[in-house]
Amino acid sequence: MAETICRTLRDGGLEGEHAPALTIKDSVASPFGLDVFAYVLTQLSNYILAGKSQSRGLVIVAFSRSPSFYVNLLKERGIDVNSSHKWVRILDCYTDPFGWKELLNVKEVSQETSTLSSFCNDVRDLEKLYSSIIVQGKGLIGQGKGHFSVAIDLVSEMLRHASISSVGKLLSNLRSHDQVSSIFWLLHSDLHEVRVTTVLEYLSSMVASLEPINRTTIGRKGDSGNLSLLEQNFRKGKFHVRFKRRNGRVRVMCEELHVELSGINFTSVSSEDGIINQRLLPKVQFNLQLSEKEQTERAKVVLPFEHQGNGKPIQIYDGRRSLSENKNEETLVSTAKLQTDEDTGKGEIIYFRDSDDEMPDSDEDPDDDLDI
Amino acid sequence: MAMKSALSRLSVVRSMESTRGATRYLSDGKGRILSEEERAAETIYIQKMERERMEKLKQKAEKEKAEKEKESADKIFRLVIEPDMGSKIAYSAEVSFDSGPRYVGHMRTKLHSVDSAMATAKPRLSSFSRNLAAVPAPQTPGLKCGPNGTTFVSSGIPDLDKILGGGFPLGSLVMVMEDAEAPHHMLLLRNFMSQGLVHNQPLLYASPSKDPRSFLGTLPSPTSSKDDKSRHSDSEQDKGLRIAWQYKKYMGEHHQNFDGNRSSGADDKQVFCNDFDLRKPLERHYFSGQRVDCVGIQDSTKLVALRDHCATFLAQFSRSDRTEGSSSCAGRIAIQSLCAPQCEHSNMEWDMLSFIKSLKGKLRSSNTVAVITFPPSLLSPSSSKRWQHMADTLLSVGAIPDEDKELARLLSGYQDMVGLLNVHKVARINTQVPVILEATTFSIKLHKRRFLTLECLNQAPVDGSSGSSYGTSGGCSGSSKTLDF
Repeated sequence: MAETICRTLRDGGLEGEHAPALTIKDSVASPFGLDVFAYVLTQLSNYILAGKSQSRGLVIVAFSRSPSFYVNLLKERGIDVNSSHKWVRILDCYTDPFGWKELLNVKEVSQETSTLSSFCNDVRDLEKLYSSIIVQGKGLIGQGKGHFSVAIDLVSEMLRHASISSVGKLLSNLRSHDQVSSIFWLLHSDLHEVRVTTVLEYLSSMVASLEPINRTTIGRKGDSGNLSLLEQNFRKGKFHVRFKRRNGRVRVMCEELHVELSGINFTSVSSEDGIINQRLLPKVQFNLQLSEKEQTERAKVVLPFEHQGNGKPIQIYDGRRSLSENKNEETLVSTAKLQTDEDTGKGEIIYFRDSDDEMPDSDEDPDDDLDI
Repeated sequence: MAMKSALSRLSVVRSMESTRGATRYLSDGKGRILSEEERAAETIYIQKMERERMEKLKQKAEKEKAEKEKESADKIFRLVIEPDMGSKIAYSAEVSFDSGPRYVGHMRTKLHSVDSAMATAKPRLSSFSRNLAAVPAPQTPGLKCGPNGTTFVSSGIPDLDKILGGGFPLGSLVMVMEDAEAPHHMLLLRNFMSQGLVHNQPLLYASPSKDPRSFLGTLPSPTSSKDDKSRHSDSEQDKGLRIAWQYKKYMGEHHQNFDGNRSSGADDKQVFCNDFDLRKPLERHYFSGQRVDCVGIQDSTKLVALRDHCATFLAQFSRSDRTEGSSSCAGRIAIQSLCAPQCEHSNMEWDMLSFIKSLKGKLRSSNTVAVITFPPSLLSPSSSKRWQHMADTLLSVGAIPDEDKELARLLSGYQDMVGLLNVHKVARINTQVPVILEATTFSIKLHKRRFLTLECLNQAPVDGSSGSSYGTSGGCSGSSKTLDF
């Protein structure tokens, strides 16, 4: 299922559609957000290098980790860093976010990252940030109609300096830009109000949230049972994803994740009761419409007096003939068929006359004068 | 307002008067025993048939009268009290007065008896009855007269028009609550906008995206009528009643073909509500020219620019001028995602609320319908409640989970469903009587992936062997398998 996410990001958006956007949401109870982010990053890089993805480059906007971290990360995962300047750019908002070091004329440059990274000196100016992201991306792609992906390290950091509406504007403008094929970002959900999280979920097409395996109250102390459970929380977690599909349906998936030294592993959930969708289902009704087949059947039904009044001589049944009753009422019953219908032919009614004085008329089946 | 309704009622009555002259009444007041034929004449079936025929005649005559009415200077309001079903005596009173301040009333009463030869029994309908059979305005196919002096425009979705009782009334504010997880409000907006363009009604569209005009490229195009025939047959299966009736053989000349469907009006060039094919884009000529105005609401603080646009747009359709031409023109405003987070005003809740209030006030005095969509989860709860109260018609769309086995078992047609539509409020202008709908939740389906249909949620046939029903309305299915005497 994490594969599904990466594949969706790889495939990008269709022409004229907004780019798919992923929000990775974690909290202090399950703090693996950065690992998941790194995982998605490496997967996407692999796809880009292999040429399988719609985008040909990746722009990382680094707020919470330095660019060298990312370079090392890519190296660790076995991705070739030497040619990386062709397909990755890092916008460094970590080293000098407010431009103080520049004011003080302190320059820190490390060799490896200098070709890849460019500084952003003022993270409060989101317009400028937007344009520098676009410029970086276009620099990767060159002329022509290529696409690039954007990864934003920590939106929570952005929200420290700017309002949610300007961040929202930045993200939606990125999504609707022609050359951005996919975008993903990380968020610490417990740092913000609920509204902020809802806004970011509104703007994204996939929401991946990390939840702890065991929900324990953190306040308890000295409870050894709890400690082991808490420990488990730091090695494992639950990974819920909500996909917004193009047809308007929402797919919900769930996996377990394990954190190891080498990275993060996703396994499908072993015993799962199914996510309880506590949707309030509205009242449903029986279907009283007829399908095409049922309508033609109904049109064929012969009703008793229909053929009269046509100018032909009218014959009224006088109780002597036996009528082949053709009343096929089943087509008019709702489609929630009752099982009882099939049983009516099997029952028999045995009737004994009370006395011989009864008028023979009462024996007549009142349906006899129906003229079919 | 009152004049308009007077006009419509007047034309109804006029036609009845003309046919009344043709009837022969054997005013027999003696109370003789009715023969079988005459008894038959009084049964409800005959009267229903008669009523249907009368309505058809009436509508035909109305159209002619409405043409003539335009020239006539004085407006006469007549009121006729009709017989009720069971009685044999009918009173009719006519009150007529001029449009001027003078009130001239003369009452004329006539007695008729209804127990006459069956061929001439023509019960008339009370002009007080709710005239739900809407009379189409002769000149403008885009407008439809509704009860209580309102005029409807179509929403672009035939099923939604039916659910709402005719469409969106002019001068009302429709709000659609979005679901953050599904784009169904766009479907509603697209159909609404296309319908307006097809009917040549000017449109103002505002959206938070940077290039609102590009959205016009996604508007659907109306289908040709050939494709409509198969869908029209669904709606008419209950109109063509076949009645098996014992006395039919006596009804010589009234032997009508009950299966005769009313002409669906598909032969009209312009229908009130088109079926839109979501896969075919609307032809460019519809939104060229000055008919469509697009506004981006991302950057304007306090919605000033949008407010100005709306004011100028609405000024074109003011209701206060009573010229002939104004009634034929209606406008549409579509605002998408008014509180979207990328707009700067999105956290100024009171400003947005005051914008809506001023828009609603201007709408009431103009021939326009406004549709605003907004995601309620992005507003504070109190603000969201206030917005919902501002709406005249309130709808909401919802997403459904994908591949949900429980839902698939519960609902039939789950495979085709793309979402849910809830109707929370239906606009009732000029009346105190609320609309109580039979069902408020509908499933949004894409018929053949092209046409938007709304259907009631239907319970899937419960498999008898499993014997479990979901505790909703139908409890009888699956409970007992055999009937024992």
